[in-house]
Amino acid sequence: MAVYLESGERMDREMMVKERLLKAVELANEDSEGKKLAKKLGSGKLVVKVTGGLSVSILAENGHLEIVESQEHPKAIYEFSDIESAWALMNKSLSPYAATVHKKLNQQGLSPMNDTFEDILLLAYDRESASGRE
Amino acid sequence: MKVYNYDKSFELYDRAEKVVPCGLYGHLGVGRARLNPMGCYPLFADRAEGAYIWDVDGNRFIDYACAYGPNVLGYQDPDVEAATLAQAQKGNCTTVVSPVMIECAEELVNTVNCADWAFFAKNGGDVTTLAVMTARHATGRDRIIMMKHGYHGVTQWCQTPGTPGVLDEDICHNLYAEFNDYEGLKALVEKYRGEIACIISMPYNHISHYDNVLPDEDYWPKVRRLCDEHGILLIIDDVRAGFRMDIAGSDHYFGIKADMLALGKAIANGWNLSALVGVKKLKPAVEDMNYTGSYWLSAVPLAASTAALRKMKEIHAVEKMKEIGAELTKGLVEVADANNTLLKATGLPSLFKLILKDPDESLIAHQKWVGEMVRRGVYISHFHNMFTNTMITKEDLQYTFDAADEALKLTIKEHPEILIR
Repeated sequence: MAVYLESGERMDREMMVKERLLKAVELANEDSEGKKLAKKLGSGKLVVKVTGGLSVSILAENGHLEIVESQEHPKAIYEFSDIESAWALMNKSLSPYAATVHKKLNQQGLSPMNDTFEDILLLAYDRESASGRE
Repeated sequence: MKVYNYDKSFELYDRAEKVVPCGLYGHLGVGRARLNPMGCYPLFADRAEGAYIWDVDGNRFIDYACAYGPNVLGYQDPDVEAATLAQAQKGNCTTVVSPVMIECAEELVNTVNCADWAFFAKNGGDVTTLAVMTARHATGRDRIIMMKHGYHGVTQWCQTPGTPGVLDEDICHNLYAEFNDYEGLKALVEKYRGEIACIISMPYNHISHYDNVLPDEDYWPKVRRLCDEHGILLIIDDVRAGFRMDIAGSDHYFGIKADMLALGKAIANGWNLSALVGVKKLKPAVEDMNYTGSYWLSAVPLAASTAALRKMKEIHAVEKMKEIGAELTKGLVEVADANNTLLKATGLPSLFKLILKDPDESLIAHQKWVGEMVRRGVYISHFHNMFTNTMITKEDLQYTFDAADEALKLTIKEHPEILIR
């Protein structure tokens, strides 16, 4: 069932999703487990977005991740249907498998890049949980 | 063409998701974007026969995935099924082993060039693992060389760092070489002189998501010599390519003799069986292994394999599958060409890899094209190499070309960047 948020709530949620994405990028560059995963990403641009909303473009190069402006020429697109699904998946309350089947998560392009970034996103949740921030 | 929907599949997924991890896991499952674009692929099958599967919504597919390899003579092949029924009436998983084990081993020894013995298990990973254990035991060495992007199953030793449940210690003796880079391989062997138990590799690089790569003509003979000079055992993982390149083994296809060859998939036309075969000098080493499983010598799959091996030889199945694959890939490339797009068909025709090229090499347009074909009854994976079987007809090929053309025209509308002129 779709969850409708007031615009202020949606902006807050978008901010939380964006912060988690930034945390994931940080872990991929600095955390020992994150670095192992980052090496598996391959090279190229991954666009993580919410349909009709937030969009973050991440450039992976030799195991290093960087946020970039341009969303042109992605190798992979990891797209949530709505902001609540994004947040739920990032907090492990929505299975990425069920999300995919129910079209709350649409992955296009190089699958290893999408798969590995998903692993990094879930690692970000684990790290946030361990630090008591979730 | 009629475009399929999958209402019943998706209803079943909701049931499955409650009681099965991922709802549908592994290489046949919904994870890792394997069924991407979601909505284009059926999730559950009702039945299969010959070259076709029917899903629970009643849609029929020409199945070029062939169960990811096992379907080689067609689903429900009458000769293989008759052998299994006859054996099932006598017994399957029993305390005392059926002589059908000997028949099957003799069939393999008489068919596969490097086989002086056969050890049976269930999955490819069972026997690649046995091969590596045997190589370590026989040589007294720890290190193994694998190819980057090689696939030998999902046991810890052959997984990559960062995979859940895999320890660094599980893979710390692995060394990685680029496939078809003989000089790189030689340098690695010399760097770790006297420490390497085996080189394990697929016969050619049938990597997922990318074009497949055949070796240079002299690559395998040079690797064989390198192994002999350094006392390294050569293991060919023929689980995927076995019985589709050369009935005598893919090592034989490339003019060499492996020390051990891992077989699975096509070995029993879909019945659950794998085998490690090898040269005589390694029989004592494999005899020392503490390695077994409850169902590994079950009689019905062994009967299936014996019948399948005999029939594959009788009807020249390998040559037939290569011919079908050549006609299929040629026709698909022509469809792409006629639509001003570039389709690359790589690997051997009997286990072909298709990629519709886009300027960013992202596979986004390719996935759209493949997905639209699936919705029209042509089952092709977007990431994996595909397979032919001996039951694919000229009519199936023509239907495939028509579906490919219709799907490509739709794809071009959404992704005009794939037009090349």
